[in-house]
Amino acid sequence: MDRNRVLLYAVCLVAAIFPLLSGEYTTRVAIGALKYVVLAISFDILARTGNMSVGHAALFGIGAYAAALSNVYFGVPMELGPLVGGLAVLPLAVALGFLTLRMRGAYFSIATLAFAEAMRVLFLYARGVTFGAMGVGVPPIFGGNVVVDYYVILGIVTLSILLVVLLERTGVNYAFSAIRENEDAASVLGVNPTKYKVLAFALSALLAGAAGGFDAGYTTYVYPYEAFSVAISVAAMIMPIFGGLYTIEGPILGAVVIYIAEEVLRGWLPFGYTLVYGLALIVSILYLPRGIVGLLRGMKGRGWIESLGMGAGRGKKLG
Amino acid sequence: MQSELVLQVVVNGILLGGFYALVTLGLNLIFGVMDVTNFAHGDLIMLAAYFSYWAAELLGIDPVTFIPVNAVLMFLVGLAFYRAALKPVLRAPAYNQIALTFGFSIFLQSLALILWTSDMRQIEVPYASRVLQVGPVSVGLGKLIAFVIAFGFTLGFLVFLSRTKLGGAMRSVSQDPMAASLMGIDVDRIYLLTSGIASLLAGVAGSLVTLNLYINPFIGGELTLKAFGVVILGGMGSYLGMIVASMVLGLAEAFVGAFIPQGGSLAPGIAFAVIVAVLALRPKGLFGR
Repeated sequence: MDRNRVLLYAVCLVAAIFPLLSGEYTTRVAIGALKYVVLAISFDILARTGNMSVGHAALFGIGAYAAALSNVYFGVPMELGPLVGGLAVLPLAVALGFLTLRMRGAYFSIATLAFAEAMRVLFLYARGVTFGAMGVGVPPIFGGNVVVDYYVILGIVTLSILLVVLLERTGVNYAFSAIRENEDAASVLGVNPTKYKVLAFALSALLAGAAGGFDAGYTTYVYPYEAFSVAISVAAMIMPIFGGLYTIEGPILGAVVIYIAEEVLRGWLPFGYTLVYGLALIVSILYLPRGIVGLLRGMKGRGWIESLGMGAGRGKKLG
Repeated sequence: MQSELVLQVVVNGILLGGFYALVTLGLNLIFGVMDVTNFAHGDLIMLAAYFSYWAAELLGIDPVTFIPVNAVLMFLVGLAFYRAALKPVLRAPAYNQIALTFGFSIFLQSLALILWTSDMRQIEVPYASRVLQVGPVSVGLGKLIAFVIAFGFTLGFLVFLSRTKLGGAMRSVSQDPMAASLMGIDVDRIYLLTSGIASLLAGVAGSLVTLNLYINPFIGGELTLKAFGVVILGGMGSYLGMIVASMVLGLAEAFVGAFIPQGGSLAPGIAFAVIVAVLALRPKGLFGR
């Protein structure tokens, strides 16, 4: 058995028995980190096609509201929240994807930024349905048992990882990479770029919505300012880039490292701890070719800008 | 009565639209010349607004008087911004440009949070809140001043772009950087100056923001979003389209604000609706190249 495999089993084992070994506070920190692992994987799946979501909070927030409002109006149990959240975002993502993913370049990212702002405004405005700025209170998922909550989010993380493994095994990932590297060439070779980009966005939305649906039942409250906060979009973007895009372990590693760093920093810098987010993103783009994973694998080199720019051209002729 | 209300709303919308034209100008310029989509554009305006706030609070300088100084300060910021945020990704795929400029957006926001906290701030400008009565229409003096200065700078810049040697160099680089460099134009220097000028225009817009509105470190996001709405509606890189589109957005916001209960809070939703509608129906915008 090689070293990587031993490491993998060790990590799985620790993850599996973590809440039994630690106290309530550390379990809560772990739940928070795992929530962001799902968001980071969700961002990464879409990024594999060369598209960046700058408004991932919209998918998360809609998932959270879908879970909470279906509980309030139809009595759907919060235990189904992750499923309800994921499925509710799916059709919206497909619709938005078909409208905005046909174009290359920055159009899609601009649309996601606008989508997140619009959703926050809409959920604040439609007070009669969403309870506006007051937010929605719901019963806790599985009676609020922290250990059970941990296993629920760990289950979602596991399914997310299996989804990525499946994408890589079935070769869909090749289509994603081909589109990212050179969309014209991919389309000449018979890959329909729009179809695959919408598929990636839909899967991405499914996971982000599930994370939101879980969060609603875990925190028992959904507010528009929290559910659609820019901080969530920022985290979902930076964590996988910092950890290493287009890999299975990169988004996981990035989410855990940055989440813990943020927990520590928040104490020192109540305002502006997000400075670290900005710096992490800038440093990753300029100096870390493949994020932490690249560093660990010793793939230092010319920077991912050049390494990915090859063959991809400027990729952003808009007109 | 109804027609007077409509007239009032149209005037408000046009005043707002003129301001949006200036807000969008720097973004459109960097896109047109460098082919980079700058997600930190609104945050440059936010930074300039805080410069204006500091000048008023610490030195007692009026925001309109401060505009030339703010413009120079922001020109220098723009030069630094080019070296740090634009030059490294000039030839890179779009997603690298988005990630890097977005990183600078977060960086500037966090910096503002550290320096000024998240409190809402406002400069007391007594004359800005005066209201002029023109026939049936009443016009806030602050909004009128903002419109006149914003439109003046926008038109002045377009004259600069079409009539001066530097403007011509910028236009030729935007059409074909390779051909421009073969004609002896230092493309890197043009890019540097373009970033400086775009930031200078953001500086003027930032000064005007403090004339009429509260500021906090997060206003940049909404300004960026509105600028994107204008640029997509008008067609990326088109200046005529930009002016028409900023009027359309200003009027749409004014009408929604006036005729839908609490419609004023829906403004970011209008920008989103515009963006999605244009991408679905006419991807190149009204006047796209």
